[in-house]
Amino acid sequence: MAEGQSDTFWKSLYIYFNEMDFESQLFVKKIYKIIILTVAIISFIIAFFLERFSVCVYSTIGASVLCILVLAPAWPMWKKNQPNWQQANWQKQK
Amino acid sequence: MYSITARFNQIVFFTSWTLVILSLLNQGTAYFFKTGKPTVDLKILSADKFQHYKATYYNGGVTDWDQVTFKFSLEADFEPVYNWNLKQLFLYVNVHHEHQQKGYESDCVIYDKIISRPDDPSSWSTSSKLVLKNQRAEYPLKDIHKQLRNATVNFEVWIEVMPYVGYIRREKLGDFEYKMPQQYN
Repeated sequence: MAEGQSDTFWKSLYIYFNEMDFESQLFVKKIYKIIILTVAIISFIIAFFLERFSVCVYSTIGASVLCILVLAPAWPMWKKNQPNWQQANWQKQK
Repeated sequence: MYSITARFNQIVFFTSWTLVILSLLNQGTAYFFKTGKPTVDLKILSADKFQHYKATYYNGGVTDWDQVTFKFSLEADFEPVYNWNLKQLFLYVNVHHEHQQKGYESDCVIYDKIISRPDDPSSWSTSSKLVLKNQRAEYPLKDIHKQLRNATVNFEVWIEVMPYVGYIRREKLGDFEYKMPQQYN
């Protein structure tokens, strides 16, 4: 981008949902595995006693969809610990 | 995890891997369940329309064969085969007859039926027993060598076990011998 120009609406929306804090990224990386594995193991045991494997598959897929909706886009809760960026300096260095 | 596509990608493929491992566990634990052999009883009630048929092709050629339609009654209990990995059973009745002098043998399926799980909403019955009374066979038995009179044929009841995860296997449940009539009727 040259100086003085700004993004379109869709590009700035994509950038908004794309950028996430570094500490939130570490948290998300840990927690999606914990959520999906817990749901998979518990629903497998429940499905074992109910004798229906579809319970396990549907609940695992549902947990993964929930994780995608909550953890993948950068909602405001994942933007709490911003690093201190310097001001953009558009003047040319001599 | 630095972009939205990277996070989406990691979640989706981690879910796929867990589903693969759970499916393998599903197939593996099914072997700890009862996998016995079901009991079956087949009675041949009658051999109808046992005649010598002839047909003519458009080009003038003529072919002739023996044909017979059976009626039977079948009772079976599939409780030893049901486990949570079973999707459906395919039951078929096979007729096997040999001719010693000419040295040929032939197989012919005369009846088949799909049996789904009893707790499936789309299944035909709610119990694991199958009772067929005075059932007419779907397909006739034909013999091009016209050797069916006074022959000994062997009725075999087979089952094809189709699981949700795993390979499909066939089992023979029983053999029943039957002597065909001496003359056409």
